Amino acid sequence: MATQTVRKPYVRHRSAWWWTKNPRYLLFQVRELTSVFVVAYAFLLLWQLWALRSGPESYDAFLQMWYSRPMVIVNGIILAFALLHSVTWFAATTKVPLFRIHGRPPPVALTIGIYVAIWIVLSLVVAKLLYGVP
Amino acid sequence: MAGAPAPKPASATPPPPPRSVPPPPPKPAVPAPKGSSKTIKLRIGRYRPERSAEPFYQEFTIPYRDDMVVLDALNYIKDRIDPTLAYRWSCRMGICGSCGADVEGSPKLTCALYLKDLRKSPVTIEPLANFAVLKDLIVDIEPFMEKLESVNPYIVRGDEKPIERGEYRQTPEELELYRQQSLCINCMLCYAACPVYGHDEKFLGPAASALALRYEMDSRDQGSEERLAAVATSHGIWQCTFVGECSVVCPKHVDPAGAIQQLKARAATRLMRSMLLPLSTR
Ligand code: SF4
Ligand code: FES
Repeated sequence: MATQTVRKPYVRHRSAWWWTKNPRYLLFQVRELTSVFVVAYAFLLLWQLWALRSGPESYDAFLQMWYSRPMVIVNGIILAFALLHSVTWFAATTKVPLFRIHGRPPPVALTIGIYVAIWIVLSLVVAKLLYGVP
Repeated sequence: MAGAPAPKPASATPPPPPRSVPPPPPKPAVPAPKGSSKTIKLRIGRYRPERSAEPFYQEFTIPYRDDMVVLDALNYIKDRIDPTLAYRWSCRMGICGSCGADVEGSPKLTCALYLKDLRKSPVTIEPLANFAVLKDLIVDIEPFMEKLESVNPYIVRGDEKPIERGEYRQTPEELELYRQQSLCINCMLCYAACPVYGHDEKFLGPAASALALRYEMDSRDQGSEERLAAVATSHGIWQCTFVGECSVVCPKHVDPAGAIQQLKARAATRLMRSMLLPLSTR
């Protein structure tokens, strides 16, 4: 009896909820989402510039809105997402060793430490330029 | 011809059994695992293209011992319960890379996962995610093989030296530069874990990228130019969004996610250099 080959590759459908399958997928999605908040902050800054250009009253109104409780909460949320983005980005950078110690990539903590140190120094420089502190 | 048996009369032949009741297959002499008082329920993803258009699940309850891995359970089922169950395996020791399957939704080498460590009941075992299924736990590896081939996974020499002048030598430090990537066993667990590959099968993916880096870092290789050009494309390393799950599931700690980021850095450096430096110094 002749045998017949039946080759019918079956392509499965991926659930739209794949990112709930494990916490690392979820963290990845949240990290992607951080870009939305960074863009939102960019729009807030543009709004501020626009208010500044429209004269002192308009800028005062803007500042009043800026320091209102809802806005402080919005800024807090944006800050949280920006921090998450930065921290996960620093973790990602450890994947590319900048130098080697005895032929081996440096320890992850050392690389992250260097980046965080540079980050803090640059932030202090910016703070100094803007506000004259510390 | 006194000893010759007399031909049997036709009427003595027993009637053939009715077609609808096939004789039970002979049980192979595989004993139940000794000292196995515990049982485990497995829910196995099956696909039999010659019988049904859709995959389905089938449950098996089997006795097991603490030293049995998932692959032992599959072998037990195939030997004792259902010989039609199809899956791949060879070495039983995490070397051949053929026994991968999704266990409870995460890609695992079935020869390296102990049944006693599985908490759920039933334990779901499915073919590796993101690949087309051919039969039961067997997936189509052809697209993966093509990706591996696409990265020139061999030492490319511009200046080939004659055999009499011996091999291309390497120091232990030079070997160390690519040793990690060279440990890949092509088990494809990283592809099953990669949501980008799950979204777009054209993506070069983790293991093929790690393989590219393995040759990029080899001091004997001179084919970097073409290899980087082959991987630094929109369906190549640049499609990676760095989920990082490939490195989590990799049983050989190849860190394919890291390999892709290193290739990105190399490709970006090469581009910058070609833009900034005069032709003669590139
Ligand atoms: S990189 Fe790791 S998970 Fe991917 S095929 Fe190689 S050994 Fe398997
Ligand atoms: S059977 Fe070879 S890796 Fe599992």
